[in-house]
Amino acid sequence: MSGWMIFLRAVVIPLVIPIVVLTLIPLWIWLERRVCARLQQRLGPNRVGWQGLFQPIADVIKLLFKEDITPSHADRIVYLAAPVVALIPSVAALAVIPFGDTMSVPSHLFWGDPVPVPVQVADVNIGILWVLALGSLAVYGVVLAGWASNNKWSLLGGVRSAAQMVSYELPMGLAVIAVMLSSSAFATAHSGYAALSLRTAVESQRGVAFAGWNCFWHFPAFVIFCICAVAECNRAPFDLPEAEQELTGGFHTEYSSLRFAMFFMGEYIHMTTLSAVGTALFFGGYLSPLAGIPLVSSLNVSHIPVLNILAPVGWFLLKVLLCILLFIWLRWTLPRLRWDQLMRLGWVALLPAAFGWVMVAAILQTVAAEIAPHTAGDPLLVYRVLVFLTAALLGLIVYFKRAGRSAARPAGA
Amino acid sequence: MTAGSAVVFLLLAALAIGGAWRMITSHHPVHSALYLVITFCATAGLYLMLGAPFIATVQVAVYAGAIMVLFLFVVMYLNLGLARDVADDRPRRVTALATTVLLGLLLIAAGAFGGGPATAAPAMTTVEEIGGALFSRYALPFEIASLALLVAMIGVLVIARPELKRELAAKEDAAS
Amino acid sequence: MIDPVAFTLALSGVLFALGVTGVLLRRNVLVVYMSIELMLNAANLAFVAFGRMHHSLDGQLFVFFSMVVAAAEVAVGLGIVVAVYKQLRSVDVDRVNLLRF
Repeated sequence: MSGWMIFLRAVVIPLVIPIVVLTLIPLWIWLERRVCARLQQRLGPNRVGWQGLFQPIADVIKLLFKEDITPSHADRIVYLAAPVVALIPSVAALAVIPFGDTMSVPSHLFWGDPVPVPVQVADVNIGILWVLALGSLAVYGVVLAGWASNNKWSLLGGVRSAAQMVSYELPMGLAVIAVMLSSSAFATAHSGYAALSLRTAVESQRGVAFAGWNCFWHFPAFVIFCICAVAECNRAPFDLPEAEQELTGGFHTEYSSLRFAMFFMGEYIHMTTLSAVGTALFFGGYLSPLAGIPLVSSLNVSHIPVLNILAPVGWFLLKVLLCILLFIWLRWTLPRLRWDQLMRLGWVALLPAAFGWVMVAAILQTVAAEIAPHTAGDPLLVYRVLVFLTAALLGLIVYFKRAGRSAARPAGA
Repeated sequence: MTAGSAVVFLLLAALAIGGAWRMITSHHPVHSALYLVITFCATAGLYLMLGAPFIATVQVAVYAGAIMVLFLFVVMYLNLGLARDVADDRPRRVTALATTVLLGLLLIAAGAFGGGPATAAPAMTTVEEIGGALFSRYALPFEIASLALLVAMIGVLVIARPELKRELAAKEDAAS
Repeated sequence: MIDPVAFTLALSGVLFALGVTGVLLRRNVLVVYMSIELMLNAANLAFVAFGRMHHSLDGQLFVFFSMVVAAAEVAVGLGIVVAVYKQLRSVDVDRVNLLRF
């Protein structure tokens, strides 16, 4: 490997990706405030810069100049470290997410044979496990902040958060496992792919337009993943750890100035990371939703030098943006759950549903792997046909049951 | 082992030992738990360097992410404040330290002289290999382990919620 | 240069000994419990080191099972701690001297 390649892979990509993501955070905050204003028939911040775009920056400057208070009986070191602890896992999880297709760059700075380089910090064998492991560390920031503040509301917020995040990790992990069944089937059919790498998950969804996306072929897993992602971010309707009306602000009640800003940013980074994981798992990651459509695909950019790198990254970021909009929409639409409802949803509804879907997906995948050689088809394709048939069958059963019921009902009732 | 990885190895080892030492000497259980988390994360790094990435991530997810969170949860739930609970009577301390030093020396000696060197640097174990072994050669232990988890879950519900037992008894009475 | 296997085994010995110290020295049952976890962890480290020494997968699989058992054991143990605390209002191991609750 030439020095330029080492520089590119060990310095440029690992620096550019977090910088891009961190630059997006003010944009998300602006988006959140503007969208929520629209939903409430207000205007929202529109004074600083064009359409109020610089409002988050003004807010950060304001927060910087505020006094940084440490409560007198707080556990000082833990109190000061908690916001940092909250940030690290979500930033570290970005390392395994593929932000773009493999780009070919010359092996030396301006000459040499083109070498494939993924737009990703590390394409590791254990990609998704890394995301899940770091996700389970994300709870520490909130719990420690709640405990170290030495404030009963904060403590309650921290305890709630510990229970909530541990509970919702399970269905989320199971939903991911269901998707991994498909992507590891892809990895066994095609050489050169690692089973648990997120790049494999993206590549397994390649197809005409969005026909291959897992949000259709793993629809139950997709719904479960979305709900759990919102719960993992501690956002409404699952924002019990910081529930304003009950806990005055929960785990971050005592925080002010820059440390509060770090919690605030941490929430958005966590959202971005989960959206990126969700995009890679369910929305075909960096794949174009226009690929393979007759007229549009003649606009192919794969031979234009810079665009062929930027276009997949652009698609990826666009999909992440849509996921963030979904987060915002949910937050300003749904009322907060009660504590017992939250636990019941997690343990009684989501967990068995996720288990059920893993079972169904595993059975269908096995059947597909068995009959694929006889039909000379791709096991993944056979699996999708089976999912479609199962869904159609279920739909028909429900439809006829309904029709039967409405026919049995007396007229005019 | 190259010089660079040897340095990382030593750093991780120092982190693990330091975390463990502070864990047994900290006065507050929350601090103990946090130091133990450091030890566990350092151990995960060592697993990674020994070519076991799957075990490393499971170590982080299970030990650091689930078990220690459970510990913290219980400490906060019971609201255990500062308690000077390090044994203060001299005989006990002396016994503890003497036992530890002797046992430590014995184990270090056993490890350093008993273990042979790895013949060649092995490749990283892949998740596929682990999964394959779990579902073929180790299928029975795997099932038994899952049964153990189920039994533990039910057992905890019964132990930690005595009112659950009473509710069930009341239901039985009502039924009979 | 250092030999990774022998070095890891020595480290595992140190961690195990520290765990034993914790069990002998502390009276808070939670810290005693954490020390036991540390000892389990030291054993896991030795398993992985031996697995690497023999170029065998079994070491890692043993660690996997030991982690499963550790998770189950912690859940039960902490359940008992909570139950004992509800009875005695204390988590001092010297005060838990009745085999009933």
